[in-house]
Amino acid sequence: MTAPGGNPPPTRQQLRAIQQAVDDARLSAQASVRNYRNVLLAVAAVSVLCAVALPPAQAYLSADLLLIHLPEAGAQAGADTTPRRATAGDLATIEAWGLLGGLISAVAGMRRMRGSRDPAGLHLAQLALKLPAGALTAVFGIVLLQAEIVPPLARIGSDRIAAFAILFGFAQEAFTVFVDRRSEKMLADAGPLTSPGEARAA
Amino acid sequence: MAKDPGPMPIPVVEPAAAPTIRRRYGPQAGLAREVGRLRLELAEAAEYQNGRRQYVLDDVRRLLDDAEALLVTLAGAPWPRRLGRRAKIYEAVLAHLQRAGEELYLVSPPEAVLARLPGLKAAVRQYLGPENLRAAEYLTLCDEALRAGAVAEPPKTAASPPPAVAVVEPARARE
Repeated sequence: MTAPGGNPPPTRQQLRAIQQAVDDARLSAQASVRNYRNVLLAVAAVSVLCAVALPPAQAYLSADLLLIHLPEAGAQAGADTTPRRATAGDLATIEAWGLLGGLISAVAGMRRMRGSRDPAGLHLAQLALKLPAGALTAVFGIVLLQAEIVPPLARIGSDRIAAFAILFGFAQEAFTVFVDRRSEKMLADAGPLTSPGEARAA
Repeated sequence: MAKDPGPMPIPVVEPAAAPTIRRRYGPQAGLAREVGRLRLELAEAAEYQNGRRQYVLDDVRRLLDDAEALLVTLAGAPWPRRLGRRAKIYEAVLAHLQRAGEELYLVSPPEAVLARLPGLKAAVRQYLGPENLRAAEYLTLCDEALRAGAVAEPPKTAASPPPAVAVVEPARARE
């Protein structure tokens, strides 16, 4: 039997080879999603370790990581304040506020997440990364702010550190948005974890 | 005189546990449904082959049994283990099902093979994409089969397995 074009119809082995090529690509995409989730979880774990270790480690640093400017009693706004070295408690507090900012960002980002049957739990790994990233970004931002190396920004007093820490914690979204985009693309490439039959029925 | 034993007690039949949401709609349920679907296709293929190519049918049956066993093992595992390993196990189950589906191309009735081709074409477009050099060739082959309304049949063989299978099986058994 031949096709109208004159060529003989493909053999079963040829069709099986096509299915094998598709299946290999599909399985490879699923494995990539799982590997990427593992990478995200590893980065999140390292971030948590850094966030936990930073406040106690700061006491052993010879240079001051951060100076907290305490407003003096009765001083006018913008007047000189008395700096003191930040304690481990101060850093932990900044991280806690940053964590809150990261949490708010994660909850806000959940609206973009489609309902997913991804068994690897990539969305969960994304959320797990945002929280410690928020804590570390808050410390990073406050240190930059207090050092006054970013020209338009001036150092702030201790009364406003919490607000800025939440803001910087929320701002981790600027870094993790790339992770979110890549995750969405990988999930789209992998497709749903359904069976070849469901794919055939598509 | 024997004492009247009275009416026979009605046996109490425990109602079957209602399937949970996870079992009905989760990835595990999707894969379990696929095992059932492939078993139906296997039965259809066995009827069509009528005793021929038995080694392929046995291979498909073994793959489906293995996939089902993996799903049962996962369902019975404690939840921390299930949470940590489910993605990997789902991939293994998917690999078994994909392999079974591929083997069925060799033994299914021609109408069943042709019925898969529109889905296969869609899958080639989705997973291989235009950057894959063979994608166009694959699509052409699918179109030719659909135009002809037939696939070329393999030569009729006896039910004995080919030598390659006989060599591979002991190696698998050792693992």
